[in-house]
Amino acid sequence: MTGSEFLTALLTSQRLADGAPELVALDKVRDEVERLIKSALPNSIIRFTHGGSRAKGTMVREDYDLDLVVYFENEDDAPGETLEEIYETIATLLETSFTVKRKRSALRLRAKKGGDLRVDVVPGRYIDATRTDTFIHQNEGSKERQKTNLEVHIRHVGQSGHTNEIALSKIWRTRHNVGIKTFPLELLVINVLSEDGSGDIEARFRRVLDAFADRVDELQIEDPANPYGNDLSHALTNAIRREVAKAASDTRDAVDKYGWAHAFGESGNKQAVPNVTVIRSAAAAVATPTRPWSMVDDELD
Amino acid sequence: MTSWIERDPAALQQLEATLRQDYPTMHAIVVDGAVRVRGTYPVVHEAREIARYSLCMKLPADYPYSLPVVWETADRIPRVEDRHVNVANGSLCLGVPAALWIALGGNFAIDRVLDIPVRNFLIGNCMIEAGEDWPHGEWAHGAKGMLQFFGETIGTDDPRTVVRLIDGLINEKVRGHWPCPCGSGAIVRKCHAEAIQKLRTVPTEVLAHSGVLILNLMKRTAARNV
Repeated sequence: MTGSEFLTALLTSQRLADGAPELVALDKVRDEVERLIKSALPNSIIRFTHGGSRAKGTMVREDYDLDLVVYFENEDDAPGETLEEIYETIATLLETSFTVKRKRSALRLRAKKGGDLRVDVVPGRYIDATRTDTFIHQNEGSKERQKTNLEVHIRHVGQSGHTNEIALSKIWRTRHNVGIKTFPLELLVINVLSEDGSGDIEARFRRVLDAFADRVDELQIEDPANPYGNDLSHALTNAIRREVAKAASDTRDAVDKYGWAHAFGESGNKQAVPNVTVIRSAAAAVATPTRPWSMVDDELD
Repeated sequence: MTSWIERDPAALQQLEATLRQDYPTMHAIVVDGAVRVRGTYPVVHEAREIARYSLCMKLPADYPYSLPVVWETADRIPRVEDRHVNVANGSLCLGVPAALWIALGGNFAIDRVLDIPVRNFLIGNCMIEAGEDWPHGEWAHGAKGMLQFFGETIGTDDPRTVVRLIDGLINEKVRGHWPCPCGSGAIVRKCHAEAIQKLRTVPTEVLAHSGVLILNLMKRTAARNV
């Protein structure tokens, strides 16, 4: 199998088709979010729509989530007068059905008794009646609000011509546990391939790895929705750049020596959900059993 | 202490070569003079990947002679004692230190750590997620777990006896003709000689740490009984 064939097959295996159980589960959460907010704010005109990878066409099975934006009209103060109030109103509403983790601008949802639901809710308010740019609240950083534009982001990534390489980069990022968030990763990939997008998928993705490994410090990113106003330096610190460079360099070396499948850690047929019989068999086959322990807090003095 | 990468820079290259060959989704990076290995580790059994965990490991200054600190970084494993995660720093508690030392023969090279205690822990976590028990059992938390280990190793979990034994091992005063600490009446040489020989290989600081925790447990128990 050639490199391009492997990478193409990998992408195909990672696509989530309409009706996939993962998407059905996300949509169920989305519907509950909409119901909660609409019933609490019946007089508000609210735009619910997908942002992120689902809208951009870069969703991958191994690392997916749903970005659900909730935008209010610019003169609507029913959810709150300030952006922080809107953010907290939505968080409180969602806490009736979910466990909510407050992030920089998003609200991550977890089941009340259970795990991560893979949904980020992003409340915001349109800047004016044109319903284009929006303000969203920020919990971190020097500014309490950020100006953004969902359609600009979706267009910039979704119509970049490089969604396959972006999806591959996300798979690579997840497999190698590289600590870079999706948005700066997307921008870096577009940056590299806008200089040279020639060749097949293997050549293009290799070019991305080479750029990350050899000159990541030179690669600059800016938010296409607000290039002068939005500071993305927190998303691409020197430490993150070093981590990206090291992982890319190691991956490139592994590709050269052992091939793409090895570099992507393809290690056999995958279990979609671990089968308990197989896990029991793995446990029984352990040659050197060890048992877990834990320190107790009040014994640490 | 001079770190291992300062003592032998080629050792870091060897580590990186090992990772590329055997763990291609894990990467070593030097942060503030210490080596961290970060990436994902696949749990594979009979050519099937049954799980993949996101990990970060901090290698000690005396690598490979002591255990790295290991974290699961994707929030898959709850950070609670009952899941054997150290609440203080979020690291995975792979085992009672003296037990791990004996199981790994004092060799904590990256491949041995990943493929023995880390892999065992992650398989165990998969079992817990499936509603089953830890497949090879689990030590009790804290000092009680240490006493459990000594109980199974030398036949007694009496804290005073264990602390005396630890003191004897640290000061190299345990002799074959001594009464065996298990209380059988036989001498060490004819009783738990093999177990005590294995405990002799455990570094002083690891034994001492066990002793301190058990002593503290004794003090707390005495205080409660007053």
